Amino acid sequence: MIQRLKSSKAAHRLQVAGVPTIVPSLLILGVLLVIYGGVRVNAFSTFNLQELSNVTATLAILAVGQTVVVISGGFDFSAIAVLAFLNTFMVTQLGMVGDSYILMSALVLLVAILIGALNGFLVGYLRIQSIIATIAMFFVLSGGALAFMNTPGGGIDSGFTSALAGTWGVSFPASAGMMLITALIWIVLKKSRFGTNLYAVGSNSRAAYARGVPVKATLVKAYAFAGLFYGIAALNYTAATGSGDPRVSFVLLGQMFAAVIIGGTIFGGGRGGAVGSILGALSLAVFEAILFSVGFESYYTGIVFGFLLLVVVLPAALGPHLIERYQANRRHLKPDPVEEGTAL
Amino acid sequence: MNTVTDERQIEGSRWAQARRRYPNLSAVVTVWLVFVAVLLFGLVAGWVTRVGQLETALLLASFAAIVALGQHLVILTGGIDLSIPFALTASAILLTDLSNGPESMIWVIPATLIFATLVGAWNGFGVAILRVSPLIMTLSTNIILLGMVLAYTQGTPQGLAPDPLVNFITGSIGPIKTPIVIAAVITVLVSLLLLRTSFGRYVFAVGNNPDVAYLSGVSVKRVLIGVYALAGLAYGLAAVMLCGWTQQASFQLGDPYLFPSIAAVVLGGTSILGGRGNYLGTVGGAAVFVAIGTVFAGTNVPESTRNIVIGVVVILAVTLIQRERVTE
Repeated sequence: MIQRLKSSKAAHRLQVAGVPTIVPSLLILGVLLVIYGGVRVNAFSTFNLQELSNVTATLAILAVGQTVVVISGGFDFSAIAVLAFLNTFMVTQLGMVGDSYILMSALVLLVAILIGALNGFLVGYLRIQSIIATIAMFFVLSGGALAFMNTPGGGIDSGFTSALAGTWGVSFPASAGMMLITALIWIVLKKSRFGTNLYAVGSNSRAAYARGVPVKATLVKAYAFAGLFYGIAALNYTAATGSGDPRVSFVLLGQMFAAVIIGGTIFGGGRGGAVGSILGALSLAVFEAILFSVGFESYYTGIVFGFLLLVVVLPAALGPHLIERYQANRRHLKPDPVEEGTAL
Repeated sequence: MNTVTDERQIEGSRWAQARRRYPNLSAVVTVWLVFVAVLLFGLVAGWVTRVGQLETALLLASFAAIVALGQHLVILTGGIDLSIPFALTASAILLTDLSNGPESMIWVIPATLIFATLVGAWNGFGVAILRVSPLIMTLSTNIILLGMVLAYTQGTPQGLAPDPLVNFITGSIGPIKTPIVIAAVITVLVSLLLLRTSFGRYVFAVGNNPDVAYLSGVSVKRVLIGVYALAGLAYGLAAVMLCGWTQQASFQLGDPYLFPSIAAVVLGGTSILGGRGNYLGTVGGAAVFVAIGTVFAGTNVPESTRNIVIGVVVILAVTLIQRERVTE
């Protein structure tokens, strides 16, 4: 309800017609996949599909976490530092749990949730703007990652790597499995009371508060769940790279926001969904594969991709304004009948 | 009641007058006091022992303050600029690549500054005309510039900054290092621009409420494009200075400036929502940031601890600033 109040008329009509907001991102991915199928030999071979899934997973799962925060009405700049922190934590502190990878994975997820909850506390209870709070946490966490490891290195048991970055069964990529699990967790969250509150708080936190939504608790939960998703991403990342790296990647930060945007989540809060973000991350991977297949130097992908980002957001950014202007012009052309009468 | 007391009541105390004329005065004073406190802490702890260390702190703060100037202007209008890393890197690489002997400086530096200004104007075009949100627009610009830099250099940046520039930037004007003088001059100019000109008032008006500004006759689009272009010019200037300082450009030149620039603006008491702030505070924020690094540089405290301290300082400062706002 509240979500609808804020959305534009066109989006409202789409929703009434039963078209989910996920459709545009599905269309983008579909078009890209068709092009990809055309330009690449054996485009949909098991190997190529596994490859696509593997290069997408970390980004996609991170983007899901970011999406939760964006829907709540904020931004999380700490995500890339959370990833580096958890990755170095996992690689260096294995001895703490007697080298048990299961215990360690659980511990990583727990720490991830706690970090997220701290972000949420800063935003919800101390009322610090999310950008500032998460940049402060970025410094703290990147410092923490450096404290664990000064330089990239360390190793991970190959069993862990094959479990989370290899294949499940004969050919089903573990990375795709982790994305599916992430999507399932999100869908359950969205259907829950927390999900309803999340969208309400993101749309209009004052209105939500007035209607009895626990705004502060919802924000803490939103950031904590975002943390959980970063934790899952960190497990995948650590398994895939097989080592620790304290450096944060600003390229990943840009890609993460891009995946959220292409996924149809609109900045400002209250609108969008995390499944779209996974599709957005997949679109980015397919897009890069296309450019690679047609022989573009990898240097140029950035340029094309930057403009693509603008093209994707342009309808949402400029559209409502143009429609408004068009309608205003039409009103102007068709004189008001009352005024006509007085002129006569 | 006679007219004298009336006037006094309207004008208020000197402090109140000063507060009206210089926005955010208390935050500015606070952040500079914190800067002094950090350095005093270093002195007392015995970590700061040489005058040279203070000079280094001010020197690094000068670079950071000029980068933060761009971020400050953009945040004043209610936006945020994520194009800083590659606006800096692209400008620096353009400068070193075009440079060809000492004489080339005459046209290479203006070319770099114009390039950076155009990058900023492109951001402004996207935000004002295409109505893309500042975060997405500047993010896209950063990605495009990254691709352009890679394509232009084919992966390896080449060339050196011209010698006269290096000599000028690493030298001194009178007893003071050149970058500090440049930063001081710019601080004065920017403060005059923002507090004493109509353009400055428009910037605050747009940041407070673009709709009201528009209805009051402010050309919001022109102001926004102007602000982003000025921000680009600031990054271009910072890139020229950084090139002069380090002699060459690298791909990683800009990355370390993105989050510190936002933190410096916020530490200086500028509202991230726009419409409220003072550049003197941002300079102070940059100085505090650098001072924390300098104080630790003389010790064997690792870089990790420094980052953690910076993060905690940002959280504490913002919480305090917000408390103050509420009591106001």
